[in-house]
Amino acid sequence: MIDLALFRDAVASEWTKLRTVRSTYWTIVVAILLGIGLGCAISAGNAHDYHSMSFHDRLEFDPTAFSTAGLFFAQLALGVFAILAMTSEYSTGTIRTTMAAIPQRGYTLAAKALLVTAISLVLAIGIAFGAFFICQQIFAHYHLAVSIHAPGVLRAVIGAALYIGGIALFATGLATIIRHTAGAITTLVALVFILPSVSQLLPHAWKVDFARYLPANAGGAITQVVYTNNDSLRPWPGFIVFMIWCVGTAAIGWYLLRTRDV
Amino acid sequence: MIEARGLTKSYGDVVAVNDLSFTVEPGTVTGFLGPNGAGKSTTMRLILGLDKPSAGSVTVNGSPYTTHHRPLTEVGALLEAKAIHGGRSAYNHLVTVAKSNHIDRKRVNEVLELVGLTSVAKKRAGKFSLGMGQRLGIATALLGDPKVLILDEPVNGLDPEGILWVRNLLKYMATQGKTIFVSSHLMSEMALTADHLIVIGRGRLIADASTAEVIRLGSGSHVRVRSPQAAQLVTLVDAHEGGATTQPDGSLSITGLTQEQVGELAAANGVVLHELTLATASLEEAFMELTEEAVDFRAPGGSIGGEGDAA
Repeated sequence: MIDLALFRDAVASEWTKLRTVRSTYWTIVVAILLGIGLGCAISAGNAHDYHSMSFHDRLEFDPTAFSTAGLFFAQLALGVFAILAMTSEYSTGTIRTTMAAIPQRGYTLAAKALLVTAISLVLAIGIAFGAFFICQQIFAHYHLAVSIHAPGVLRAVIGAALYIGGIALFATGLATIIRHTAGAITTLVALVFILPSVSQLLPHAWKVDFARYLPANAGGAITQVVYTNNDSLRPWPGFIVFMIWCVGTAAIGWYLLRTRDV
Repeated sequence: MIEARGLTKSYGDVVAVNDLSFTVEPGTVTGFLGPNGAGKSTTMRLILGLDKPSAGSVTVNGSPYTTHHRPLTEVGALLEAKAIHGGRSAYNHLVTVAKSNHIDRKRVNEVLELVGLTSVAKKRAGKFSLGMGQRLGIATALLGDPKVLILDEPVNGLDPEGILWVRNLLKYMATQGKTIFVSSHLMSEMALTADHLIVIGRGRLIADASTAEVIRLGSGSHVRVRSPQAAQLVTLVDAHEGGATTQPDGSLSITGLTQEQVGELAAANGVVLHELTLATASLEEAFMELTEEAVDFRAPGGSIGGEGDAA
């Protein structure tokens, strides 16, 4: 049985923890700066280069994906935000106070996961739409802008935000498993930044069998409007694979948190 | 009330707590003594359900800690000083703990006042001294006004005034019928604070008795005598089934006879005495003797080294 009153207490406690440390605020500010700032820079650069691009590159030109590309970097800031919510308890020793206060440990993890995922999602929706509309102004100068009503565009903008929400849950799971700030951040960076790049170097057959199921590749499909290669999954099947990664990692963390000594 | 039955915890090959059985009764201050690495902190983590026992069980007020709901009104604990996020204020730290157990925010101000941290409550705790960290830890333990208090080395890092304050607080809470379980490496402090002592070494129970009894269990007491006719007195003591040993300063240490018996024996035989005193072993000596075989980390000099509990 789920004790809802206990869950509410856990959420209230975790909410107070998040809003009473500075790291929450600076990770959010960095996420906004990266999300909108880099989105604008990437959009402006690509819009400027359009006229000198090859025919093939013009076919792949995706003003929606460029505008939300900053979120790909903002995910690192929000991943750190999610990781710190868990690992700072281990580095400071407050984890023992927390686990003694609520011996039903799963409630604390659920409360942390709910809050960091919801905060990241809300923030990412703001960043995604903000970046989209600002960047379309830039593209409009080059007569390249797309409308939010064009096929697939709304889905891609919302999808970019959903991806960020998923990353927050994924990072919470990693942090619970690893219990160490630097270790969890390194693992997140390796899985979402380094591994996808490495996978690009693999032979084509391996990409289809392996690389497209990596979290960032599977989850990234939903942010694109224009598809030019068949190596990646379709948007929603990709997103389902991504959610399996996120929920699965959190579930492993939940199991370990309940069984390990603290 | 805390009840441990056959409590055992091993980490790989290392047995930190070995078949420990004891009961901590309400209404008294129970001291928990042992050399470094004896397993005191591990035992306390087992009581709080933070570590799972390899065998045996421990209950708090009749049920395992992990089955308690909102346990802070039942059990309050201090495990380590300064277990606080350095960027968070003492006040906010206590609010996070209070909210987790649905404790009224007013109580936060009360415990801050009680431990004397009101003036620094809104400052970031990263700059706190060890003593202030201890006071905050004690405030956290008291937050739910619990019936059972578990404190690991609460006077560590406190100044003399703070030590006196903790001593009086614990004694007062015991008179309120609360169960107080407090570990310390300061034997002299325990002699003044605790009514009952549980002594462990290498994870095993060495003694579980009143403080006075533990002192007796150790070196025990002896009669110290100085006499110009020492040799004659030794013969007399031997004849009356006592034991006498000559100390480096020339005095005699007599066991098996009371102070009165030695005095009467000397008077009856015309032996001149320059000193006749009853030497009570300190808790420190009793502790050293009891745990002599069970010291894990011995300094080259042979004394118990360092402070705090490594386990």
